[in-house]
Amino acid sequence: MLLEVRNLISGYGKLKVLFNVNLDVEEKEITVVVGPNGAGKTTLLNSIMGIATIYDGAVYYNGSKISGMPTHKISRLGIAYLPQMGNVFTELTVNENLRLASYLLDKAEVKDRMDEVLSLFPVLDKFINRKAGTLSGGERRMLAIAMALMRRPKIILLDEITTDLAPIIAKKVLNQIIDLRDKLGLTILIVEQLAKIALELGDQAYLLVSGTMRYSGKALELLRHPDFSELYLGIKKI
Amino acid sequence: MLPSIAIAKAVAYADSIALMAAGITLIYMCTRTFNFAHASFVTWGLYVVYAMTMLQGGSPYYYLPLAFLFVGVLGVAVYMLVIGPLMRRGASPTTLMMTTLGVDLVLLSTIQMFADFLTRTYRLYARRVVLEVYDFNTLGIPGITYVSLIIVVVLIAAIHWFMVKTKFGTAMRATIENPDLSSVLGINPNVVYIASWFIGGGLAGLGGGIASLAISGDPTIGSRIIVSMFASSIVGGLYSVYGSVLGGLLIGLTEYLGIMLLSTQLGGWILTYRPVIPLIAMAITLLIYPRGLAGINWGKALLRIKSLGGRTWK
Ligand SMILES: Nc1ncnc2c1ncn2[C@@H]1O[C@H](COP(=O)(O)OP(=O)(O)O)[C@@H](O)[C@H]1O
Ligand SMILES: [Mg+2]
Repeated sequence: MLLEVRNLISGYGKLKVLFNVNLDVEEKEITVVVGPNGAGKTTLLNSIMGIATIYDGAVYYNGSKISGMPTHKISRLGIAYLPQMGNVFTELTVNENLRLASYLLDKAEVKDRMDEVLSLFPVLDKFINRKAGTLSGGERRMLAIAMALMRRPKIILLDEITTDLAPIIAKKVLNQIIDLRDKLGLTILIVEQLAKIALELGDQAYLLVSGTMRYSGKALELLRHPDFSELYLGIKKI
Repeated sequence: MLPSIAIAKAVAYADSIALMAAGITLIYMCTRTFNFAHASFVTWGLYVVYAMTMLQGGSPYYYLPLAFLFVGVLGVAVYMLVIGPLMRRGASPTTLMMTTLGVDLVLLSTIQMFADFLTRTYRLYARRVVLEVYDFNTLGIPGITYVSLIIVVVLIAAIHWFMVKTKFGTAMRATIENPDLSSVLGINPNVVYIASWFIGGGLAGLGGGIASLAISGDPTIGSRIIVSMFASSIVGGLYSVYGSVLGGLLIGLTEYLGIMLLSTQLGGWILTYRPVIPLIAMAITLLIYPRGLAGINWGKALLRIKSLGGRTWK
């Protein structure tokens, strides 16, 4: 198991958002967490990264405990996170954003990776010296994905990456990420409100409703579950 | 109307305020802390230059880098011992600001002690610091006017280069915009915060050092000009180091020359009301430019000035 979340109770300040949440992410798999708006999906990823407050429970990476560590140290273990909001520096140019994302790499590596991600998203090359704040929603999302990939992480946490993308591009981006999984052995944790696209791609799936896990199992089984809509809306519990 | 020496002194004073305000803005941008301890930071800078000039001899200018370094380290200490731990516990900007008031009181007492120490041990009259006699003079204008102007220009260019061209400067701008995202990318925001207190503190120390030659000092000098520093930072728009420098020049000049004109016209009683001038200047600027000097679209403003010029000349 690459990433384990055990009996996690977390939130922000005095507000508890997640209650006794468990999650297992197997190496080189695509694990998907779906759930309606406000369920706590983003909070789950924020807890893994050490941004949200953890009241109880723990997060393990490669068998060692990472909950309680500062965010930058968690990141340096090889965990990349693409937040849902505020995922690029709007005051910085595209070039500066990409360079920051490879802050810890040496110069030669930076150049290699830069060429790599720019060939993945050629559109970014055109805007290389523009401030990220002037990009469209979709372009920004591509920049954010490129930033997350710059360091060649072992695991990448993706929060609703398809939101600002046109459906065709969303599919393309997801397929590229699957390619990377196959090529580089990347492990992927995807969090999505729009359950369908993600579940079709995923290996394992979790359903998060109102801060509690309501389902865990094979992604396609969840998608084809006869009571899926009721479960998703939290009307019915298993 | 005004003697040129007064204008020269006003420029030096304004330069020192500009540096102090730049420090306040930098620390605020990075750590959301309105640093009232800047008052004592500035005074410590002044006393470092004073004590070294008295004890080691030579020109006060030699000791300006030391003032920067000493107060920069002081700033780092304040961040590491007080502000940093509070920030990690989620303290609000208001709490942080109130805390710096406390820090300032502690630092003020260390300055008082240091002044007494200088008096007892070295028989210096350390409660009234006048270093003007150690300054040089060219074309009837005190050296500090030239030197401080050069320091402001060079330092602002250096800060610009550092923020835009270096990797660490870029990380600093990134952390100012979104600390969570930069830590997600593996940058330790704490290092950025420490750097901001070092540079911000250093600028205060340097400003204080310049003030030692521009105006006379005493242990409470920082507390008396803190209003001008904050007014400059606010006039500058609070989110721009360049804005704060412009604000400092504007406020410093207005204050120094304004009180001079008023006291010759109205009499010495007006001197007590000196701190009101920076506040009025701040209010007027914000009425015209609500987002501060940094919020002005300078390109457009220049065009307008040019077109106005065109009209009058035709
Ligand atoms: N930074 C925050 N501070 C306080 N509360 C938050 C914050 N972010 C999210 N919340 C609250 O936590 C709950 C879950 O939000 P979130 O994790 O964003 O859900 P999801 O990503 O599933 O839509 C919501 O009630 C939201 O208001
Ligand atoms: Mg979310």
